[in-house]
Parts: sequence; structure tokens; C-alpha cells
Amino acid sequence: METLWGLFESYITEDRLFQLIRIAVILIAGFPLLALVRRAIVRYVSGNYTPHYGMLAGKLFFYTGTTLLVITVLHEIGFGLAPLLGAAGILGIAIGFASQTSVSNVISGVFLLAEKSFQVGDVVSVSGNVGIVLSIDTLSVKIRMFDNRYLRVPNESMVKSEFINLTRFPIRRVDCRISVAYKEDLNRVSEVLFDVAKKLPYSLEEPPPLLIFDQFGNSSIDLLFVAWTTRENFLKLRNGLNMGIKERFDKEGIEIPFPHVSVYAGSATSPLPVDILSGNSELITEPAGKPSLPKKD
Amino acid sequence: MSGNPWSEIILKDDEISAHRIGPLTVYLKKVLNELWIGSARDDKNDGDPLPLPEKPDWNRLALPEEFSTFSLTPVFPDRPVVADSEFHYRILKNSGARIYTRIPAFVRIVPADKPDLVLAEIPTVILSETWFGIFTEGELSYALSTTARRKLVQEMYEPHMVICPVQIENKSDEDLRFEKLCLRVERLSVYINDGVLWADETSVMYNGREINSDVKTTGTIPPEAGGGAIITSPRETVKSTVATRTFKLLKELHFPGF
Repeated sequence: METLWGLFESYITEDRLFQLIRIAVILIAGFPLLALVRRAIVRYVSGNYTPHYGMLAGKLFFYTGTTLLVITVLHEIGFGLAPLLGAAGILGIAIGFASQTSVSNVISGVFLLAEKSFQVGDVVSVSGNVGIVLSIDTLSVKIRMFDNRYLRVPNESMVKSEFINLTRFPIRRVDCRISVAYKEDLNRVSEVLFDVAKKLPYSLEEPPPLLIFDQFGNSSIDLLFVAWTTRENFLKLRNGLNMGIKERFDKEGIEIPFPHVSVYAGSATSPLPVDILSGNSELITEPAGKPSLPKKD
Repeated sequence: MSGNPWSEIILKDDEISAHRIGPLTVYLKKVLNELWIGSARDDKNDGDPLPLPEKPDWNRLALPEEFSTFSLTPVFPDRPVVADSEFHYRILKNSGARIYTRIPAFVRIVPADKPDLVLAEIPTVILSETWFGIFTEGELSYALSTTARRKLVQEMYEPHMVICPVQIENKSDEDLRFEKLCLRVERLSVYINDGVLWADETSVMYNGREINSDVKTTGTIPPEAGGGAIITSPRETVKSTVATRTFKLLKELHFPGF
């Protein structure tokens, strides 16, 4: 025990004690100070520019500050910076090989931030998942999906794959695919569709709605009707348009046909053989060409 | 013009007061320090106030103190307004034209003693929305159903409509062909004379397709009004001249997004 105490006494000299105190002060004061300044920077930049830039500026400051703190502490301990950087280089290569995916994500994150294809608060669709971007972090993009699930997409995947930014532009187009029966007067259908759009408050007058004849379908004439709205009102217009069209078609007697198939046996003129079940499930079979009524009991 | 709907209203407790301004009827009811505000519209532009609906959609406001007198004042819509020219319009270079548009006012409700305390703003006519700009940038605006005209005629004078004279000058090296005109109404004052509402005279100088137009607001009542007094200040106090996009030129945008 005495030997240990002796060792401790010989190690903790007055200089070393002051050195330890300096290190403790740097760490205890440094990190909270960094956090405070980071918060102020995020608030200022977000307020004056965008939350995206705020987050970026905050992260840049925090990582730079942390690096400086660590270097200062190492310097206090007595590590020279030059051999440290050399060691860091070798260590970096070793770590790089061991963690290629993470490094790739970090670099991809930098590209994502620089490219500005989307920002915090944008609504994006990634591999069919739609949600609001919560943050663009060092390794991944965090997304809150509309059913309140949390989606984490690695930065590398975001760079490699296609994604759609649904709120990049201020206005959006709502597409309605509509089928009407062949017997309908298409001019009348067109009038009704434009009138439905005109009466909806969220449908913009400009760019104007548009009706496109899509195709002669198997069971119907297929049309595409499009209208424009602001990105905030997209869902309201989509619901309003589809419900309004159904309501008006019902009122005007315009038929939205179900798919139907005409079946012919052999030639187009001969009637089909029909099996008629009587009330007690007795099978009555009539030969083709002689349709009959069910027998009375 | 008969009668001035833009007046002060004295309310007694629990009494419903109805006021018609163009197609809009505003209902006001005071309950202690609360003001209840309701509205209804029809297709006519004058007549008696509409009867209170069976289930009125009241908006209740708790006020900082009890007021008994309120003012209804006309104010311009809260967004730019896009007006159609009567026909596709062409102004040759170094030429000018004066046109008149009518913009349905919003009704602003304020306590008579505290005109800065805005309690509500209700459009006299529900205007449809439109986009003024291109697909990637622009402004959400209101679309006017009435067209701009070259002459003032008697039927243009309605109690809820503000008449805006616009002087367009083509100072560019090309003819100005436009079908729509965007009015930055948030920069305009409203004046009243003999029950007719007028806006400041606006002059627009077209400088070319690639250059924004200079829009100048005079800040004075137009000579056509024959005098009058200011009733509402602009929503935005800005420089008298701004450079901004004003015209939707012919064949400019119209690719429907495919």
C-alpha cells in the first residue's frame, strides 16, 4: 500500500496537478459552452435562413469545436500534434477499411447537404415510403412517415437511389383517372368535370385544369383529368375532386362502368347453354338453343 | 350610389345586428366582452340583409375590453389579384393605355375606438385562387372574375367594389401583348367618395420581357374620383416604386405540365 502511495505521490507533482485541473476545466466548461453556442447558431441561422442551414451550421460548429477541444486536451497531456496526426492517418486508413459503409454514409451525407435536393421539413418519397424529413445526419436521413413510423435511410442509399421530393415546387398537379361508358356524350362529361374543378376552392384557375382522352378501354372510355393546387392543399383537392366527380356523375346520370366481358360460345349468334337451378336446387338442363323457364312445383 | 354601408355600428348586449355589403351580409352580436361574428352571401349585390341562417357559423372573439361601437371598413384582399384584360391586349412600343379593374373588397371589423385592433376580415366575394408565375416559382393570388375595362361605366359602381385605375406604359423595344395583369393590391389605399370606393392610381412601366416592370403607386386619389377621403391605408407600407413581374404575356406559360 505504501509503495502504491509512494508511486502516486511521485507521479502527482504540483505541475501535474495543475495540468489535470486545466484539463478538467477545459472539458467541463468546453462541452456545455459548445452546446450553448451551437444552439444559438442553429436558432439564428434557422430564423434567418432555413432549418436545413441551421442544422448544418450547428453541426459544423459542434464537430469543429469538439475536434479543437480534443486536440487541446491532448496537447495539455503532452501529446505532440505532428506524431498524433501521423498516427491518426494510419489509424484512419485502418478504420476506413474496417468501416467502409460508415465512411461512405458520411461522405454521402456531405453530398446530400451540398446538393440540396431536399431539406428538413420537405415531404419525400423514398422507395415508396412517404414522410417528412426530420433531419439529415452524419450517417442517415431521418424521416417521420405519415402513419407516424420512424424511417431511417442511410445517406448512401439516398445518394444511390431515386427519391421524389413532393414539396420542392410550390404547386402540384392532381391526376384523376376516370372511366365513362361508351354511350356517354364526352362533351357533356367534359363540361361536368371542368365545372367540378371550378367549384372547388383549392383548384387553381391557372395553370388551368385539363382533360386528356387516354384510350378506348375494354369496358369504358378512359380519361385523365388534371387540376393544379398549392402543395399544402394537394390532399384536399384530390379528395374534393374525386368525391365531387362521383357525386356529379351520379346526379347527371353519367355511368362509370364496371369492367364487363361478353362471352360467346362458338359463333356470335348462337345462344349460350344455360343451367337453371330450381328452388330445391334441382338441376334443370336445357339443350343449347332452347331456353326455358324453371319448372313450377 | 345610395347609402354608405361602411359605417359605425353600436351594439347592445345579446342583440344581433345584420349589415349588407354587396352580396355579403355580416352579423354581429356582443355578449359582455365577446364579439360574435357571422356571415352569409347570396348572388345579389344589394338589397336587405339576409336573414340569419338557422345554424349560423359564429366566430367568437374574447376582446381585451368591452367595446360597444364597431366599424366596418373596406380593405383590399390579402394577396395579389390577377385581372383578365377584356381581350388579349396589345400595347405598341412607346404607347400607353389606362384601364380600370374592379376588386371586391374585404370587410374589416375593428372597434371604433381602436382601429388598429383588427377583429376579422371577411371577403365580400369569395375569389378563386390562381398561380401567377411559372411552375417552379410564383405567387398564390386571387383571380378576378370581372375583366379590366378601358372606360368607366355606371354599372361599375357598386358598394363592395374598389375601382383601380392602372396606367400602363410600354417603354420597351417590343410590343406588349398580355392577357393577364397582376395587381399588388397590398400596396394600395382605399378612398371613398359619394359611396364609391377608389384605389390609388397605379402606373406600370413595361421594360421588356426579361425585365421586371416598374410599378408605381401614386398614393393619391385618382382624378376620375372627383375628390374623396382615404378610408383604409395599405396593408404594406412600401416604397412608392417597385420592380416586379406584372404581366402574363401571351403564350408565356401555357404548357399544362406534361
